[in-house]
Amino acid sequence: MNEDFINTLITASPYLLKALWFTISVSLMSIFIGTAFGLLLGLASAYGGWTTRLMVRIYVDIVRGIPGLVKVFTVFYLVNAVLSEFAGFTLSALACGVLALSFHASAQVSEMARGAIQALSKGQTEAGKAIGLRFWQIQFYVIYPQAIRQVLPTWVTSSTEIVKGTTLLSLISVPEFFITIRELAAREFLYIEFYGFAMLVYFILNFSIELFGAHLERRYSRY
Amino acid sequence: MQPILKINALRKSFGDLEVLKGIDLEVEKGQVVSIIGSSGSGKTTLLRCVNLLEEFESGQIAIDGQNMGYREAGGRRKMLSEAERAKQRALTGMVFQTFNLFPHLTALNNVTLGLRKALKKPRSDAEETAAYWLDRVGLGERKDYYPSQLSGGQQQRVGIARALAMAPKLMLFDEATSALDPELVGEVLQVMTDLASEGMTMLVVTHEMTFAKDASTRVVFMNEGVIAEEGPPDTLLTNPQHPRLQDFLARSQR
Repeated sequence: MNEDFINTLITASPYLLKALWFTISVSLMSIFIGTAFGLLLGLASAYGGWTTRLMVRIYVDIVRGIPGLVKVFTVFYLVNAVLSEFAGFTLSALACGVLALSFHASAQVSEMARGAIQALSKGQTEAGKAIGLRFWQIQFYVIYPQAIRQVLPTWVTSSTEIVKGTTLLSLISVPEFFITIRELAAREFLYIEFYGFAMLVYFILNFSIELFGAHLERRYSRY
Repeated sequence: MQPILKINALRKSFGDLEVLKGIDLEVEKGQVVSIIGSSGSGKTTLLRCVNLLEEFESGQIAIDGQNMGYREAGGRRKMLSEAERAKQRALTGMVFQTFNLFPHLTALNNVTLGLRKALKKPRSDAEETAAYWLDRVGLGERKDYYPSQLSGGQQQRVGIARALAMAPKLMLFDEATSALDPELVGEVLQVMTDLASEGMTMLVVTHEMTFAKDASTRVVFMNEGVIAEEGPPDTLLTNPQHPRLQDFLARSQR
């Protein structure tokens, strides 16, 4: 391997690690916020009246219909323009990135949750009612445990999509991993080495998520 | 003595279709009442109204003197809150045709869930009660099995234990043996017959004429949303008056 590359890698390692941590934390925040919001939307569309269902439908279709990069730019420029006009403040590039990725995740999770809840037979809810459980008790003790197991594989896949999506944030200058790689590659003229290295790192990240997902699946598939 | 179940002029529609057209029925403590009738006669809907899985438009259902689901004041009829209805549902135990066990919980936890979360019993008490009832339906050895590891007949017996553990005033059986393979029907009917002979108050929708004949105090024949005929099993099943009941019995003997 190229000695220049190794040396640069070592000298730049504090920056790279910091950038990598940035990528990881942006991913985690987006997955967390997106999942929480998506679950609420999924519940609303599984149990809500027709206006609620229609509104969630429109939101999901719009968010899913817009390419990731366009979402990032829309939030960064459009949302910030509106905010500075009417609220007198703007969001940082980082916040915009997390917001855009969370929108994306929430639409995915909402569809998964709705599908899983509706796929569970009406009988499960009725059995819960028959032993005197309240609506939320039925959700927590009967519906969710079964729904989680069902959506887990798809949820893991969409979490890896979010990690991949963080690279888009380099375009609004969020100091994530890929932007740092690009700078180093250009400065040292070591394109193949650094992009190859980036490939490996993203692969390891997502592979770890898949492993974690497989572990969860095993835990939930006792029955 | 006040009856355990008193249904008065009950009416229920699905959209334009009226499925219950004024039902009056009383069940006293310790009685076993079998409801027979062809599909679409409204018998399952009647049962589902009793434990408030269906709303109904008019009439009253009282269990142990307590009006189910609705409150009437000043001529206005108002649905009770979700919490009140949940509490009332626990007055009855329901056994479903398709078992509806919770697949992610063991047999034991299927039974403890209602005890712990609806009746707020501590875990150890709930487990003791659940183990007792599983034992009673002959599944003490299987309490740590998941539903998918049990046969249909065993699953339905867990379903019965789950309902009984809540100490209901009235047990409702909705075609409890209809989804079972013929060779598994016997073990479930045995549990039901034992319960009947021990004095449990039961309202049983069934196609099992032998159970209706041997285990019930009274048989009710439903036809097109009304009770067409009712009486003691010996009279009703051997000397039917209503032409539709005569048809029905002739067909079910074949």
